[in-house]
Amino acid sequence: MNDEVPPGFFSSGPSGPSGSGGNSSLSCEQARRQIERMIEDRDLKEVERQLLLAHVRCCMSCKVELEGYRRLELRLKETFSTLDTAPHFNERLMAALPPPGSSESPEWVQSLRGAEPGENAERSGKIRVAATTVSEPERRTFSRVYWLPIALTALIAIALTATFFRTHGRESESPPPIVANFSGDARRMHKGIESALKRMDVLQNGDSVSSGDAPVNLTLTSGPQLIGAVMLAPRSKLVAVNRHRFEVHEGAAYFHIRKDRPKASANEHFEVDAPGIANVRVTGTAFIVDVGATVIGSKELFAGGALICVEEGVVEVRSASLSSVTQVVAGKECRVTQAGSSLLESDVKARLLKLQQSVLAALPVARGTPPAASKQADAALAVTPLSTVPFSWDMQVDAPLELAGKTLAEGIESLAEKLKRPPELLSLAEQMRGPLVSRTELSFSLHRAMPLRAVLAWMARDVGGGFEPGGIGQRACFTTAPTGNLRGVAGSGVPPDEIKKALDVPLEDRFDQCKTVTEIIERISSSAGVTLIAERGAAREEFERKLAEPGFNLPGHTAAEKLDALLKSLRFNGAWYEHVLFLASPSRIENLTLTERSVPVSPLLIGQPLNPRWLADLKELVQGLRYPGLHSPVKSIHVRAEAVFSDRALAETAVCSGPVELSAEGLKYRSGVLGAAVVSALLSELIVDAPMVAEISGLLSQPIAPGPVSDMNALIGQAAHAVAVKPKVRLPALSHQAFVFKGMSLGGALEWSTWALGYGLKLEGNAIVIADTAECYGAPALQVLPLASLTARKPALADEFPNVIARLLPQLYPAYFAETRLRSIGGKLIFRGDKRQLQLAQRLRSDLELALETLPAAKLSSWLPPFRQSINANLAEPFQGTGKLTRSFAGLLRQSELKHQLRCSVLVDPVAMREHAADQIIDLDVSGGSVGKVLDAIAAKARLKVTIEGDIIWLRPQR
Amino acid sequence: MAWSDAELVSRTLSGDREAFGKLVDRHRRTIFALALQRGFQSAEADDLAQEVFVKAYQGLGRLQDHASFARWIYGIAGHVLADAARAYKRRDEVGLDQAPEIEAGEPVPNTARDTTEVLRALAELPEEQRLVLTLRYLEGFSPKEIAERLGQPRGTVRSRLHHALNYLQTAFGFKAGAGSLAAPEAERK
Repeated sequence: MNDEVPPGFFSSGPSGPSGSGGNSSLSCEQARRQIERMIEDRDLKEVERQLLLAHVRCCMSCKVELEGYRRLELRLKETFSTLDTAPHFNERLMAALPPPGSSESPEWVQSLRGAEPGENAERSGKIRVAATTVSEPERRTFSRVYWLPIALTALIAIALTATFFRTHGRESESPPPIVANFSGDARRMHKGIESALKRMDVLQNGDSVSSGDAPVNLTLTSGPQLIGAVMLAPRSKLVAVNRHRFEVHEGAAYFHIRKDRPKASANEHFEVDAPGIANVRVTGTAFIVDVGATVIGSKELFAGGALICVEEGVVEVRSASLSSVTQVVAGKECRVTQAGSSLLESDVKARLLKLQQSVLAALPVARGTPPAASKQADAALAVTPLSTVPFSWDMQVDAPLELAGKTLAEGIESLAEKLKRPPELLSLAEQMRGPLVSRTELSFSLHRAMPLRAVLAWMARDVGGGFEPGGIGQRACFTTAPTGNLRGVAGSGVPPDEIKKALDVPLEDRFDQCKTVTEIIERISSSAGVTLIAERGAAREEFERKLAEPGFNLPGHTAAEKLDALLKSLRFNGAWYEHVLFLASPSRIENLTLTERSVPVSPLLIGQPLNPRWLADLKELVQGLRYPGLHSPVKSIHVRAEAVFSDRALAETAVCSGPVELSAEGLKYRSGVLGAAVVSALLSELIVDAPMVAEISGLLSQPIAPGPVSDMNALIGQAAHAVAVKPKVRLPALSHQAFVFKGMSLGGALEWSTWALGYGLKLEGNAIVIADTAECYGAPALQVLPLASLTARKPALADEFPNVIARLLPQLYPAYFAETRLRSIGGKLIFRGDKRQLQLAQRLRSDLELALETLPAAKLSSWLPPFRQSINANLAEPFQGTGKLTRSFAGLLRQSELKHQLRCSVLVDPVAMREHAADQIIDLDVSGGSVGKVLDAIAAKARLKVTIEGDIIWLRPQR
Repeated sequence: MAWSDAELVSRTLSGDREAFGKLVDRHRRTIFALALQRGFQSAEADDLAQEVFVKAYQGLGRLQDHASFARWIYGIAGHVLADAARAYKRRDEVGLDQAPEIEAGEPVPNTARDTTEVLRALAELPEEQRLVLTLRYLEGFSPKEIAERLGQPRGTVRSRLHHALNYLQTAFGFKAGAGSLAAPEAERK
């Protein structure tokens, strides 16, 4: 039921009552039956469930059906969860039941005979009297004969029971339960009579205590045993309902209740009411109930409500209307009103500390009071107070330490054992032992020594929480929400060298013993002697899923390779924190490792003077790596970071959050580890020369046969004797003389034809393959064109070359470079583009390199490659035909005087050609025009535009 | 270890009142919810639930099969609630529409409004379907467990659940092409 279908996923899917069910193997009828089964019985097998989900993903009507059921279920569950009887239902009911022995008692009660010792001694006597009225002679005789011994036995039993209760502190007979330790000017209300509360006063059930300007401290006992302590804040009122139930009527009270307090039954809870507002059920130890009247908190904010603030353990807060039940853990506050309750994110430490210190200051007074309780109280309280000397949370914890599979409490206990049981750790373990605390098991063990603080932080994070070490007068605590950044050393994408070596060991294990992903991680971890911690969180199911395949293995030979394979399969990334590798989703890693970073750029500057212009370009480039249009750069990583760091395509999704500073010392920016890796990759690209892109057209250097190309098969046929050309896409027919090549190689013609049709060329084995552009030339990525070969020939022009290339590329290949930003950095030309663009740039660089042999420096800025010079010259020639042209569009282009005068290839958009070939152009005035002008005039008649692309002329629809 | 109903009944019959308290704890919410679904106000439902348990306590000695305590007490609840509904016949006239509404101007908590709406829809269902739904969504029992508790075939339980959910889907407009509401007469006896 947790397989959520992505919202909007179905918008384009088939719909309708008889929906085909997409490509899944279930029909809609079957799917609906399955949905009903799933909702009603939840007994679908995994395979069936997957089939159903597959169907639902493709079928709108079944999706609606399923969603409807889910919403209904949710609503029913929500409704039923709010239904409960009024508080104290059981007590009222039990009071309403006819007492045993009464005339209203049901027959079966009256027929009971001495079933239980204590109460039944009394009960049996009454029954006996009742039996007299029934007139059963035998029984009466029996009674007469045995009356005396039975009566004696009953008396002894009563006496023994009374003694037992007195000594064991049962509630009915218990010694005074509540003793005032320190009264200040407090008042006590007992049976309607008010008096000053004195030290050592004992409170009875139903008594209330009102504090004056000073706090009142109470010790709660049960017989000789200590239950806990209460500190009543100044100007507050507390009612003792009984020894385990209190009401805070005004102000605030701090309760410190022992977890192992004596209980009358296992189900007994310590409870505190803010009457009409909240009920606090305690399973932990220390907390505040503040009805917002006097001392703590904002009166305005909390008027009409209560604030529950937990220092230790967990308490369960119920609003009086029972509309909500909230678990509040240490370090959290919960605001409760009649309408419900909500957790607050406020910092509770100050609030706790203030009351806590008052309590601690007063607690020693408890010693010596009351006599029966003093020893136990001393013993208990000896543990309770906080250390007055700082505890070193930075002490080293030696490895190995088995933690995996233990609960947090058990894990802390193991730590405590290793560190000679410091009370701070025992207190922490106690905190995490409550029944309401998550029982999530730790997933990792310690394989390298690390500071205690770090171990606890990692343990907390492992179960989805956070850890806050305490200082003097403050207890350390675990929190429910993980802290933001991990403390200590900022995360890095690179492991320390020693860890690198450790991970480089062969790991032949096939993980036969591992049943879950968590176990595999722990296996790699222990083999390599490093600590790997995976954030299971949202992917918990994935981690805890039983591995279906016995003998499961991961590809790779070494621990590092296997770890890499595992991360890829989980789509996780890792960040190193000293010796710990933390594994999480890329976005989490980016969030947790977001930090100021600095990269030296000196390798780029080697042998070159500091050039402010290209430094500025580099800065702009890095800054521009931020994913556009997203406020949070992390999101972009989340979307794109499935590839590996070294993938060049990732460069465009790199993350730099905030401004980038660049100086001679280096590049400063802010990013996560992935962002840093991409910046690092970018910088490497700037240093390492990009390899040459293969010139596929060079494989077919023979001249093309004259004449129009009817379709691509004509070209493929011509190439067949040299190299196989295999189209992987459907190639259209090229009728009406759309493509006519002149003075071009077969390879060039094949290349331009393919490009003109929107496809590309690539080599596969010994064959040339025509395929999709992206398949042939890859996705746009950072491309680097080194210009060192030019600089080597003419060092004096080094600064000019980038400008020349950057100027010429958009001019020569407008279709491919018009919108490309070309930057010059460190004597290299950088742009974002595909391999085809890089290939064109490399060609141009080669042409320029050749030209440099003879080119005077002064002419560099106006230089054009020879093929373009030739086309320009051809188009500038005067047209030698008649002044007025009359013919079809295709006829003018392909059979007129123009055909003879044009010495270069002219391609026409095939669709436009089919449409306009027969268009009659009458008396087109071309008198005195050049070849270029005539071509323009003819193209305009078919609403086409003439562009020169490399060494071809291209007539395309105007846009 | 949790005692079974049968064990708790036996202990109650041997004089252990706490055991009966445990039985009450186990079943009170279901009985209370059934009363609310009958249209009673919260306080009345509470009283009626008390009455059900007092009657159960008094008649416990007559329960032959201790393991069938749940079925038995739901039966008592059915009688008590039916009697009360008859006694409060006026309630049928005014129905749940007369449930105390929050005065104009005072914000109505969504949860309260939703609860009333759902209870209103549940009131339209036959009693058997209400019981099955309650055990399903309040107690979280599977159809198999419900069948065991009620001593009925699993198919019957599933069928009731199916009809009830179908009806509610339409009632809440969660069903595609939901049309007019037809009371689930087919299941009514």
